[in-house]
Amino acid sequence: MRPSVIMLLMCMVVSMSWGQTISGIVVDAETQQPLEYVAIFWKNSQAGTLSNEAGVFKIGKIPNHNILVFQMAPYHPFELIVNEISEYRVELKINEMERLEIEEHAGSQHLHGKDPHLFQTMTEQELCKAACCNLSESFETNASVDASFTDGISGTRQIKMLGLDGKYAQLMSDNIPDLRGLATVYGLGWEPGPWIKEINISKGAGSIIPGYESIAGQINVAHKGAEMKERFFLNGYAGNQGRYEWNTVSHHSVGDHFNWDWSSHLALNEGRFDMNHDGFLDNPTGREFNGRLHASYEGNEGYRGDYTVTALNYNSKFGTYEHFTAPLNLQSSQERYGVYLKNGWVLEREKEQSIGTQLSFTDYHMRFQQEGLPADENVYSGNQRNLRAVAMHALEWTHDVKWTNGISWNWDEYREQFHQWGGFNRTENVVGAFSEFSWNHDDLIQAIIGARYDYHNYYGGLLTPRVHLRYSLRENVHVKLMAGKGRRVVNPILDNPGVLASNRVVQIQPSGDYPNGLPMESAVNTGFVISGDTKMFHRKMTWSVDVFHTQFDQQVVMDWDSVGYLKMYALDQDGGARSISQTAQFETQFSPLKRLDIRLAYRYVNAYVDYATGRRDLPFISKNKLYSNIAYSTKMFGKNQRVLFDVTAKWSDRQRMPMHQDDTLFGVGAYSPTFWMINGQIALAKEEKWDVYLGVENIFNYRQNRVVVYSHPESGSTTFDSNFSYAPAFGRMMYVGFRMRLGGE
Amino acid sequence: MLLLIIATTAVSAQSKKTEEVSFWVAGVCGMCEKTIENALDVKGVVAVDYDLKTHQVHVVFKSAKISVNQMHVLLNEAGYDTEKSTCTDAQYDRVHGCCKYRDLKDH
Repeated sequence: MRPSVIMLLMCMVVSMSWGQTISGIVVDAETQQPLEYVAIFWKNSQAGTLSNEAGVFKIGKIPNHNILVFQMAPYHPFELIVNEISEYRVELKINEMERLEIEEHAGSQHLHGKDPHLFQTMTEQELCKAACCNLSESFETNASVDASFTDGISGTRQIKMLGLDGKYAQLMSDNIPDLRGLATVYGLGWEPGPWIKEINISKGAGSIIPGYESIAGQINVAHKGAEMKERFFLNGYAGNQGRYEWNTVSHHSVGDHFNWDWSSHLALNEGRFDMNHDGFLDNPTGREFNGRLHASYEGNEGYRGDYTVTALNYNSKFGTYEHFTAPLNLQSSQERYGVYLKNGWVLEREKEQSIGTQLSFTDYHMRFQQEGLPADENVYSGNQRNLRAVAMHALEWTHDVKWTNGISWNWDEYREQFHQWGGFNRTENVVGAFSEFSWNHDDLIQAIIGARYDYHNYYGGLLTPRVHLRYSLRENVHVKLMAGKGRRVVNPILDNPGVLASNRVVQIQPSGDYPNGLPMESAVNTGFVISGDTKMFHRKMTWSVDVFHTQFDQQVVMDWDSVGYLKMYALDQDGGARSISQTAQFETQFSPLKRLDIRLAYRYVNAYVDYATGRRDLPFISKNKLYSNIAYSTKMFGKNQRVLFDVTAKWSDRQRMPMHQDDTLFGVGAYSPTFWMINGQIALAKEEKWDVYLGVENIFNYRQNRVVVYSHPESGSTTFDSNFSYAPAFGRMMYVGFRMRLGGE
Repeated sequence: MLLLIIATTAVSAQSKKTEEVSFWVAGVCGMCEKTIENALDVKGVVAVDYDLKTHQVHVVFKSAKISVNQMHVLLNEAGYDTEKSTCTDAQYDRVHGCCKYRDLKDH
């Protein structure tokens, strides 16, 4: 605070001695009314002022600064380039996004009521509630996304959304589609939670701009990096399952235009435990290194560039516990590099226009090995290289009419090797064009209509349309309707990485002259949402109900129901076969007491497929799910300190298990039992400085006792299958951690 | 079950008579909003909401336990001017650098 006063004095001195005072008036662009309390300051300096009741301001010129920033919520910040000392008239435009943020300042996880997409944001504060080592674990407190294990031993988690596997959700990193193809499932484990600023979850097909690959939804991860307030962020974590983590994020400014930040992540899994006594390690051991370097440049002429480089190295080992008589060891190793370049120019024309480009390259290697079974079964290696280029133009015709057009090119080279099949390769080349039109009337009704046409070198021309509508019944009750198509290409092995932790035979029934004989999957998703807020206990209470229906018109059915096999075949659409997932979710959030927030949700899922052997529910889906989260914070004490308490309780209904030989083997029969999962956390925090936290996951120590079917070759038959995992094998888990923020303002 | 108990306690706790008041407080940023709301996180205040856009704070309170004047004093104590009373320079010094509403305005 001192420097700002000194700077102000300095600029007053300067303005008095040289008489160089910039003055003028700030008004609302639409109403032309003068605006009071607009913050006006020289960019990258501490020197500033506020406009008065009449919207009038005066500010002294300071040396080496010629960009004057006008800032007040909910307006777009405006930058005025001052070339001469004179009087200026500045008009500020309302920023719709900002308006939403202000109106919906509704806690650490909130719904964007007015956005025609069903769009939910999980903030950093929300992510802190879970042990949250990585992205796949960060949905613990979210009712829309579930995370479960792909198999009983590798520790790999996959998500589910709208009753569908995570592969049908499009993952993005800072709005660039990422973690695609072979990386779809494993990729979730590579995004360290402490690097994340917020996660945006959009249910339903979503915007067409990032591509056609979203069917159930879109998940975008925004990184802290450049927008971090503090200079340095540090996080340490230790859990009694033997996991240790170290995360840093550091931010630097160079001059007025250039910022850069780097993030690092180191994780060690040292724990060798067999808490459920099934002879297999509950969690993998191994280590992970992960780094990210990001720089941004903001030019004077409306240019902004973001340049990012990432690198990852991950090794893990799992399998039988130490004293097992016939050991079975599995290991996986992964490496990934990425380069992402984003450029944007705001054009100064009559209408507000901007041009954006995205260019990215990733290279991913994965290798999986089994040692112990005859002939080292299920050895797999895969390599995917991706190159993606997009150029787009956004035009704001009027405040209410926006139009975005663009072209894209996507190239994927897959080189895979699977011991059951030998080598199989494919190179995908997709060029496309897209257009999205947004129209808003009186803030009452809004429509976003988009479509893209892509030409795929294997699958030909693909038209993908999407429509989102929002109508406000009242100021705070919104109805949304959405419909959209989505599609994706199947990766037979890594879409189902759990199969590698088994000796199942992977069998494809080819159905055409396509790569691997598999058609492209495509589905139509329709949704209806009604959401609103009201006053309850003198505070804001929000509620929402959403219903989604996803129907595949083409799908590669993953059939786990033949013992010893994973069969893949095209859905027999012509024969009347259907693959449908229907979900309904109710969610409410309210605050009955000061600093006490309660969130409750219920979800119903009905997801079934007509397999070759008849109609069955999808395996590992709970028809009913209950979810609740209670968060309480004490009053501030001392110097901005408080204690935070958080409890999440979830109930899962029975889940259909894939067919297995011996129903008594797992004690679960055709269905898993129902169970509660309760997590709790206590944290002591000093606002924006540091916090220490202590948590327990799975307080009641619920465990799945048999996760793996394994009979040693010497016993006559060789069976190894870990694809029956519906709950954690480790049981109760405790952890401690700290976060430090250094060098803030 | 636990939720029900909490919810019912909350209802019964708040069924006693409350009053509401709105007044102007000088605040310029999200940090001000937090500080203002925290300053009024005291006994007798049932709910506080500060609106940055209108600079109005809305308070639901029990008049038996706290008066509106006391709220003005609490806000001054936290470094914020209100429509009724201005804080002393010493109090104003407590305001964080980015919240220096007065210095900026007086320029």
